[in-house]
Amino acid sequence: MNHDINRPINETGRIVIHLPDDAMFYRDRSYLPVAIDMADGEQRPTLLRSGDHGINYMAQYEIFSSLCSDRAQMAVDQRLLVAGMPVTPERYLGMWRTAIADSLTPADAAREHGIQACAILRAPLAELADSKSSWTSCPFGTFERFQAKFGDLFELDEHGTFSLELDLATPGHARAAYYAASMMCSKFDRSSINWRACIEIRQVGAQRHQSGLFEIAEA
Amino acid sequence: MSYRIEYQWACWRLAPTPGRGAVPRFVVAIEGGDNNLRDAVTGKRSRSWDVCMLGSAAHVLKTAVYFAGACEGGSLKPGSRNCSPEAYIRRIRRLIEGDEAAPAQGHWYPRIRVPESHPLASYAQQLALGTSREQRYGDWFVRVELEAAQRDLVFDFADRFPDLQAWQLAEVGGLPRT
Repeated sequence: MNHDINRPINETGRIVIHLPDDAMFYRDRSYLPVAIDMADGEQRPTLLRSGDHGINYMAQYEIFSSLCSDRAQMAVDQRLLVAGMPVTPERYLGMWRTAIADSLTPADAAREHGIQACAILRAPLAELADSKSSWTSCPFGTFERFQAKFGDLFELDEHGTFSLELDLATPGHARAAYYAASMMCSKFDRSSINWRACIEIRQVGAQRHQSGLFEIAEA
Repeated sequence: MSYRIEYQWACWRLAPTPGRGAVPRFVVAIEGGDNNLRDAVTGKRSRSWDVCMLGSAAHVLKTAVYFAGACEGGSLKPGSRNCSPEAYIRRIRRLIEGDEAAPAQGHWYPRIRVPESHPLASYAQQLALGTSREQRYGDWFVRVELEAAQRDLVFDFADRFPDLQAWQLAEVGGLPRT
């Protein structure tokens, strides 16, 4: 997670987005946990365990594992504050447990809090032409069929690199993004900067939804 | 799925001294073992006492939080029971913040063993501490020997090298087994 290590993180809220049950192959429900941090007078949504080379929808236990490796430890020496106040790691984890219990669909997160979750896929198109999915549960099996379905949304640059943005609030997009990203992960070296598969969390209509974010801030 | 079981916990609280610094220091030992590993003779689940947390209260709690991350998925079960990360952290907090006496039996002692490339190895040489090389499973390690009067140096090492695990710095002996 990127933050100024000399300044405590001031977490003012947390939103957990739950994805459709078919978004991936695991039986457990999968989530995108988003912390709302206050920095320089602005509320900023931050996806826990973000990365550029893979789409990670998290099971509940993965959320806690991630928190216990990072933010909950920072709560011990007050490098993480909640609404400007110190918090014990136990209480902090309890807040996330509540947020998981109150999780929202991507559409509700956008409507109620102005938080939009998008999958971003970008890679050299020619190199993916013969890619096949390793998963039998993949709805399209090959990248060719994925392209046939979503190719209209591809943006191609002069180098033959495609970019695709899928709003996870649209039915079928969370699942498509997951399996397309998994094909890309199999094809490309994780150290390469020529491709990208990630989730971006955005504030949409920030002015309109700012009050939504403040409503979930800790009292 | 395999998981770790923790059976017993022991804690030594060491008052601040010039050698240990201005805050109390703690040595937390845990008797634990894997659920699917059994003693060849008794058939009982294998278990051992290890120093799992060492340092200031904050350092110990941070380690507890890290370990607690394994509870939610069922990879860590205190007393062989499911436990939330919150409950695990509370358990360790009670251990270090409570006024329970140190274990009636048993003791802890420094036993420092780090990979040769670890900066503690060169730091120990700067301090003119006795060191020796040791090969384990094909890898070379440095053992740092401390005199009895130097044992509080392990807390300095824990502060200076937070990447080190407590069991790389100390061991326990004589604690009662379950």
